[in-house]
Amino acid sequence: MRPRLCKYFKIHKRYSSNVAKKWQSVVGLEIHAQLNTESKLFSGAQNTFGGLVNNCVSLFDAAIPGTLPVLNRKCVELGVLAALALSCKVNEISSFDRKHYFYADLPAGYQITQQRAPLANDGVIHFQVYTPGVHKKPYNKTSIIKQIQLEQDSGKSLHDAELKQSLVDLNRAGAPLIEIVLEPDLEDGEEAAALVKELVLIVQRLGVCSGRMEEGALRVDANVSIRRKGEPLSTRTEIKNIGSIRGVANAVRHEIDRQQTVLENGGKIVNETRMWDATAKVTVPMRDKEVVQDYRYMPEPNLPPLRLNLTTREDTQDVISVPLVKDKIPELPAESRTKLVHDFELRPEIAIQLVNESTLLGFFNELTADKQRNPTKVANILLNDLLTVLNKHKIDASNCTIPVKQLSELIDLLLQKKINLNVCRSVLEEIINSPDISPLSLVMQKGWLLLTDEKEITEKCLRVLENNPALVKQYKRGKIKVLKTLLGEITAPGIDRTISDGVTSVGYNLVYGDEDFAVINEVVKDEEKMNALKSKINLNEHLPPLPAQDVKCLMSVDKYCTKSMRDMKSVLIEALKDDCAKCSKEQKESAGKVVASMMAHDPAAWKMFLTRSSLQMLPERKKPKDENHRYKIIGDPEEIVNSRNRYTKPGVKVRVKRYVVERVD
Amino acid sequence: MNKLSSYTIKEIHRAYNDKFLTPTNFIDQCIERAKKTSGFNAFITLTEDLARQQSVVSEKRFKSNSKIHRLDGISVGIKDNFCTKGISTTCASNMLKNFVPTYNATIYSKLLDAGACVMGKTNLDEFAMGSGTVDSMYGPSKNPWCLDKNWRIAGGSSGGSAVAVSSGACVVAIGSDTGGSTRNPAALCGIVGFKPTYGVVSRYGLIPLVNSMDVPGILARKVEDIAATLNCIAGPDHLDSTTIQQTFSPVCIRSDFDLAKIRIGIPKEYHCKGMNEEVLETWQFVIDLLERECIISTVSLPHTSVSIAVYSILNQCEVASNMSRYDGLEYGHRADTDYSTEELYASTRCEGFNNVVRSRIFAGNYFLLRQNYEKFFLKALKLRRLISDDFRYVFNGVNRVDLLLTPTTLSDAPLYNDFVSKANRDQCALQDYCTQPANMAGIPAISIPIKLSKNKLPLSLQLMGPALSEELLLNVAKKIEDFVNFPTLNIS
Repeated sequence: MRPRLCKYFKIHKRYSSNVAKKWQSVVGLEIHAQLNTESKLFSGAQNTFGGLVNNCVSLFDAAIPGTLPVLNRKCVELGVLAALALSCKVNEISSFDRKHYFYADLPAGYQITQQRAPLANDGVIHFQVYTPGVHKKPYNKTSIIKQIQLEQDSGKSLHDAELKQSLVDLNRAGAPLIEIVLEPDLEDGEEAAALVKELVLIVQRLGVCSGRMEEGALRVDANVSIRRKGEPLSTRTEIKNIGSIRGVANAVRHEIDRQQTVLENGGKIVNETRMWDATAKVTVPMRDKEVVQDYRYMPEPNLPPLRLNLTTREDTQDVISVPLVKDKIPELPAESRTKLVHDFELRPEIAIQLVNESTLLGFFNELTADKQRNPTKVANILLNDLLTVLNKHKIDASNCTIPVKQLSELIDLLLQKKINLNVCRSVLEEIINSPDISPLSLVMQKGWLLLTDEKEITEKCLRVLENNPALVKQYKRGKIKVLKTLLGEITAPGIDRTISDGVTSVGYNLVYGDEDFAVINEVVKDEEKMNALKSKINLNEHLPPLPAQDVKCLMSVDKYCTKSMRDMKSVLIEALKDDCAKCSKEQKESAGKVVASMMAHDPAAWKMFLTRSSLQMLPERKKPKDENHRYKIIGDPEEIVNSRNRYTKPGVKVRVKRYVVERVD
Repeated sequence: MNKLSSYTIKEIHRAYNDKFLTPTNFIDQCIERAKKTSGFNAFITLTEDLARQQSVVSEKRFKSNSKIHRLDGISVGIKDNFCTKGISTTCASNMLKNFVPTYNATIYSKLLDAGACVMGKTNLDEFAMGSGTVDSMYGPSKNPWCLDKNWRIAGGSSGGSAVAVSSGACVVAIGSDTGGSTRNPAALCGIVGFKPTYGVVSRYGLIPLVNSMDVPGILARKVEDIAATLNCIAGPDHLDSTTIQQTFSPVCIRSDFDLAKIRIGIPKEYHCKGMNEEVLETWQFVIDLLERECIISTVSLPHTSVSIAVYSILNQCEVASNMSRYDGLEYGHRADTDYSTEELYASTRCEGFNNVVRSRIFAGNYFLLRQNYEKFFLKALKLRRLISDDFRYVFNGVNRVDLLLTPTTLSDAPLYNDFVSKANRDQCALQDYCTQPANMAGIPAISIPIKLSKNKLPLSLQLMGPALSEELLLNVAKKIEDFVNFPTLNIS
């Protein structure tokens, strides 16, 4: 009943990766996203990444006295678009404030931001947490967005310790940002990373931000604090400017570990700003921001309050219509995933991976527009084969230049079984750098089309066998390893490309004439199991065949067995299981004879025996490692009357408790 | 020249048209005058060549009878806190003594477009913080009405502009008005000083003192010159988001303007402690004069007495914020220290600013601290609203009046020695008492010289009107100007 119940009620297993059970960690994020606009937030200077140093700087950006800010309408539109996509309440009136601090890359000595009356409040972001290798399956998580505000970016300082010089680049100074302030709803680094990933996808979909964290277009500050269960939260620390998604996961995890170590050793956490050192994998305090800053906020007197039209579609130069902006929201990643799961019946984790790579998702949508193509298979090819090839060539998926036309040609070749997976990968390798080559002509040119004519395949195989009599002999003697050589490049060039996946079986078929290939292949892989027997095989070629009755005994139930043969059968099974560890020397000897005789004279029957015994062994092999599970009852007991559960009698009330399984470390 | 220095723009243009004066000739005389009167210290930078060039261009227009621009051949002085491309703009501060802007303030561009001949950049208190033009790194400006050894102040902070106009070096000068900085020196120097409604004239390129109160102001000898200049510089500016978006309809001074239906209020709170007897007499003199022409009533602006304290807090907070950009990195003075960035900042700002600026920054930062924000800054903002509501009520409520008549200053021009014996804060508290409420409310105000005191010094009164009442305000001011027939300063 146990596994069945679990399956029935869905096992929900959750544990945070590195946090020991007695500690709880609380993580809150603040995310800065650079807006994708031509010009800066308050000036006409170009807003671009990687421009010539100090070449995209207007007088205002350099805080030249007498200059005034003029709000860029496009920035407001993008800010509103992001706010709406994150289900925020957009405020009819918002205003700007000055936040003061001295720093070389902040020319005015203050940053213009929206502290008191932000652009939008009270949003929410839903996301799924799924890191392959950490989580077995995705789970849903939600974080509340406290506010979204428009603000200026600062410039960049470069410190040259050797020359004792600091250089300042103001190209970024005054660039438009939205700051998204989230409530501390997260528990660990993986959740934080998943939230950031989802946000990146959303802003990319919206066209609000490039999302390129490596360029600093999206930066994350994480507030981390921990507590023992039931106790108040410890002092929080802030990790500033984390520049990658894995960085978020690692920085938060390490900070939690660090705080925990400090507290367990009787130390105290100080309220400080730390920095994530991705190379050393530690968070380190930021030297120049140790003191708690008083930013001396003040309303920005040079900008009138920002007004928005929340109700009508009337849009003027000074007042943006929010409903008009709302019309521009495209399909968001969450909807895409739901669609993939519902319309294309993809597994949730596949849907997540696909949506995470927007280029691949684009390919998927175009490829599956043709209903002939199996969506799961298309997704697998994109996520496994294409992505592998891209990674191998160190190409980012978003920079993949292969046209959909080529991909669809290739995938059709594969799905129509005109080529096999090996060829598919080879073709991808070829076209990754020269995307103009047609996969079909490439396959034709290389002669990689699969042989479909059974006669032809058989002939080809026969030729291989004829050309390699020695190998065939070895194989027949039980040296099954040589099959690989037989079907390998040397003896049969190109055979792995032109023979479909099941074709190795044709090889067997030719050698043994058996039919139960698939399972046999399984067994054959387990070569080691044969080691105990192999040593005895040499002298057995001249052995007589086994009496028919004994063969019958091996092949069926025990009632046909003589006593000695019954013993032999169990010895054989033991031998297959664990190299006959418990057998006596004599037992091994005679077992070896039986095996050799069977292989020489009645290979079909012997294969059958191997198959059966391996099938018997399978469940035992798959026995799970001794993990400690514990059942946790969830909810109150329920009365069930009519259930399809075969353990309950129809019409009889049964009280059922629902459990989840938890792993105990 | 002496005769010329009493000419209005209209009269000068008539002289140009009648060919008994040419722009180059007039500008030469103005330059000569400026040099002769350099002892008053009106100018920080004299832009002789520029003025001459511009006068040549104007002269060509007059000779070719092409369309004459409204300020063609008119000498104009500009306070040294407006950015002028290629001309150093110092704010009378060591911090900006080497600062040469690469752009023009909107108001300066508009003056150039109107054909004005720019004589130079006029003196002021450092960053316009003061009301005497005594705190300038280029030294104080002297009041041209008193040539004694024991000299008198010009008022401030646009003292240089006022002196330039009253001494005859300029027909018009541009000042800035944050708490009375245009009206105060105009009053003490016996000329007209005008502060437009907040948002009527662009602040782009004006190095700010208090962004929410700063307004470019106009100083001239006659009200009609104020009107002519205002018509050139007013209007929306996309570079200044706080300008009023409606197009500005030009102000017209009408000779047949009828005072009969105008209601003028006398706010009783402006009769304050420390007000000079002669000022009160002057006030009463004009009230009596107007009583024959229009309707006079006493009104109340109950929050007037707290206004100066509120002004002081808001001023210091914005100063602290606005001054934080002067770190010596991008422009301006940089101290010769390389121990650390913090050290560089501290030394730069210590060397760059005078005591007045530094103490205001200090106070402002204190008021803006997290624990003080509500206690001081927010309360000051609330009071500012009440002060502004006082005005709204007298201009719109029951028994409403059209304009208010008050003194501009509490006395005639003080002696320099007396003035500097007081702290800057007290100087301003006294000098700005009557003028800063108009800045708090953003309403237009004009100071008109009325008569001379026993010391032979100008005494002036102020008219204030509701927002955007420039036309009414200037027409009434013109009437008063005509009634009192204030003498032009005669310097030989």
